[in-house]
Amino acid sequence: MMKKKICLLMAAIMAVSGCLAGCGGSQTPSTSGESTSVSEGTAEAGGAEGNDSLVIALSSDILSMDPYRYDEGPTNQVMLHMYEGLVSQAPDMSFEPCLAESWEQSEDALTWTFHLRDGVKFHDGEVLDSADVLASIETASNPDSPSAYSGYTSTFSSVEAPDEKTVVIKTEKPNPLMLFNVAQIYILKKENVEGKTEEEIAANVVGTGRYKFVEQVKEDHIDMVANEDYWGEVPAIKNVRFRPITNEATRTATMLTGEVDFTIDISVRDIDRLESTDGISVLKQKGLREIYLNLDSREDSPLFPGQKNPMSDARVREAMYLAIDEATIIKNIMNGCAFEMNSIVPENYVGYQEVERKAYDPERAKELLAEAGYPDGFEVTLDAPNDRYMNDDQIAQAVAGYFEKVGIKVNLNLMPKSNFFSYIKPAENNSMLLMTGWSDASGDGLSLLHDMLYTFDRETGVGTVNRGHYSNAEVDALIDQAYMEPDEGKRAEIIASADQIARDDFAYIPLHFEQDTYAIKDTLDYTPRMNKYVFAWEFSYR
Amino acid sequence: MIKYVIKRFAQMMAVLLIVSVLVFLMTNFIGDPVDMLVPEDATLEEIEAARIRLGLNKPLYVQYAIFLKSVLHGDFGKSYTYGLPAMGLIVERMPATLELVAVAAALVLLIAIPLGVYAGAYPKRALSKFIMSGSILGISLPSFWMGMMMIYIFAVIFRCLPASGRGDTIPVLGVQLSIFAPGGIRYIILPAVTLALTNTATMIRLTRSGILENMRQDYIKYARAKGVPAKALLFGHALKNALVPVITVFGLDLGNMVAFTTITETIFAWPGMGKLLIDAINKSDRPIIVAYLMAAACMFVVLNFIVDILYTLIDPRIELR
Repeated sequence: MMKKKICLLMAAIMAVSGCLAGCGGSQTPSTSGESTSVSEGTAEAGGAEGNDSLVIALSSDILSMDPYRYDEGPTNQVMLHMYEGLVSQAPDMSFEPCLAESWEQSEDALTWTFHLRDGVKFHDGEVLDSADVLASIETASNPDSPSAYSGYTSTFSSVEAPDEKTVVIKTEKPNPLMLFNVAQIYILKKENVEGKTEEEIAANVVGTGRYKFVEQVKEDHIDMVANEDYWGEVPAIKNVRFRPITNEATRTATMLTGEVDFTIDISVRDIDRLESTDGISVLKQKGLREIYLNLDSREDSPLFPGQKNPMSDARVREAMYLAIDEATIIKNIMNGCAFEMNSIVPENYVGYQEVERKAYDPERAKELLAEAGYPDGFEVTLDAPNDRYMNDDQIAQAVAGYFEKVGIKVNLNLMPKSNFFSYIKPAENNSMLLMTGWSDASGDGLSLLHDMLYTFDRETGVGTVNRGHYSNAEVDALIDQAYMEPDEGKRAEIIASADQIARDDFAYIPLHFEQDTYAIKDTLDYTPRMNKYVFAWEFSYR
Repeated sequence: MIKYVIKRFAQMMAVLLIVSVLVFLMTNFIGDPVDMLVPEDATLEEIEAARIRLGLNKPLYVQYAIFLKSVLHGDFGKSYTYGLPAMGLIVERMPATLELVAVAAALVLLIAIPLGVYAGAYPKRALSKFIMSGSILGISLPSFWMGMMMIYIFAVIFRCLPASGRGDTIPVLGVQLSIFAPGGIRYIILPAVTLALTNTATMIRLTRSGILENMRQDYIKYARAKGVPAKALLFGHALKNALVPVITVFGLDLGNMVAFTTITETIFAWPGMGKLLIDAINKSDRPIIVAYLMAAACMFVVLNFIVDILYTLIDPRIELR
């Protein structure tokens, strides 16, 4: 009897004390709002004043601490705090010196010489030299590693170090994307990468970057402190914590409570709530992710057996373009959180030119269909993902509706992304009409054209995302020519003209660029980057 | 007893074998892991190289044979996504989940049993009716909604609890736990309550019906006539006899909470195993899915075994066969 009573009593005490502990110790962050909550988050990192600490909420955790393991936006942005490449990408997507102070290209554009910066130290105090660069490039290009990085080194025929401060990269063909490629390759210490497994590389985070690694608790946080011996300007934000919060609503709630200072990927429906909250602002930026339709334009497509592919007629493709009311899609489906897209080449990219989107004109679309011999339309299947892009299933439904209005019968086929991307591969020949997205961070339109418009060839790996099998010898020739052109200005003209031809052919139907949406505390200043990478050193307290 | 343990062990092996075959077959339909892994503009060569590296170029039955052989050596394969041993990834996230479940399970027992006994002993009182309607609410409200509401009320409006995360951890007997860290308990309250809610509601109803039934039995009447005090009557006699179904369900619930806390963990950004499973399914990461479900099956068998042993302690008439 006694025992039972004591047990019950204990239980009651535990329950009550639990509640008290929960609500009692918490008054400080709630009342003072902005800054104290930060120090509460990074206990061991100190920063009681909060003016040099920053907590950033991410929408997904990094996939590995081995920087070469996974080429993926959220992982890269965290890695770039600790590791650096020979060059780095500026906010406007151009390239600037980083670990290489300068570089030059030979006359024939086949040899690149990079001169390493003096006095660059790794986080453990050792000085960077060309041997580290060689070992890092070697590791990144290892075809046995599952990393996506071997793609960046595939054009390199040799990498040599004539002395401690110089690295020479040779290629067999001119590579206009060389700076983009070397910007992707993190430079690690030779002794930390040579002959090491991924686990060993991941366990030893020693880079040259602005921040030093403190700790990672998977799916909970990654902590970093400023590197006071950085070769450049030491960042003003000293303590950084990245917190992955996958659920959109939780991310917003955590921002509202003041536990984090900055939140990436705000859901469209939470924008008003955050904007109406004192002390929080929402930043909106045109993103790089473009949403578009690919349509099968081959004369004799295996997808239309025994009949002519209606979409091989440019007039039909034009009709489909004109049939879509993109302005309404942006307004009603995207809640205004998207930007009209006219060309696959994003603004500021090499080869970008300003072009007008053709106005919505269903009457003209019907005329064009009649001219092409399809007054009563035809039947197609539209494939689209339903969990990959912002409101993707609704956009696909709207597009199908617009096509129906001009007489094209559409069978809508929505799929989860894990099935969709296998299904739409050009080599599979499954899809005649599909909606998908693409985002390219190279800063160069040539890269997009090469992937999206070049005639697909499974052997040589060109046109790998040319899912509509668009093929125009003229465009192919211009892309080849642009690759051989070392002069950026001339290259831009060639790229622009190739894109012009493809647009006149209605090789693809552009829809929109997604908006990148962030929430930030009013005490902070920050300008988002085009490529969505968020760097702690670009923040400042007011 | 030994015979019983051996029998149980053999059963477990059979269950694990079946689970592994099923999961192996099923994961084949949820998408090609290679396509999730390589960049979208990968060339055919790169895709093929990745396929060979992961051993996915071999026929399915060969893949299964290889898997079975390495499992017997204690190797569940490496995750396609993370490149690390699948079992290691699961074990690494286990303390967070176990911590959460332990607190939730304690809450379930501490709340459900007294309330259930009360509602069963005095079914006509207003408070009992209130408890019963409350339990219906607990059963019918989806936990993701409850989780969001609790974040909204306690974190956003009253600001007395953190909205998400686990807070800092300290090592306790070699395991990283947050509940003993300073302020750590604040982080666990909301997720643990959310997780406990549905189970509490079921347990209340189970306890109540057991007590109701037992209170009508002759032995209770006799004990009452004999002059046994009301509390001893309820907890010593009626509850003890009502406990067998309660424990059976609680054992299963416990297993469910450990293995499938996915929703609660996702909502509260709790770094446990459930999120790992969901991510693995999204990425068709078969080694993690297989290892996870086999571990879960194992745990269910063990829990059931413990429940069976508890039966004999509660009711000596039950024998293990």
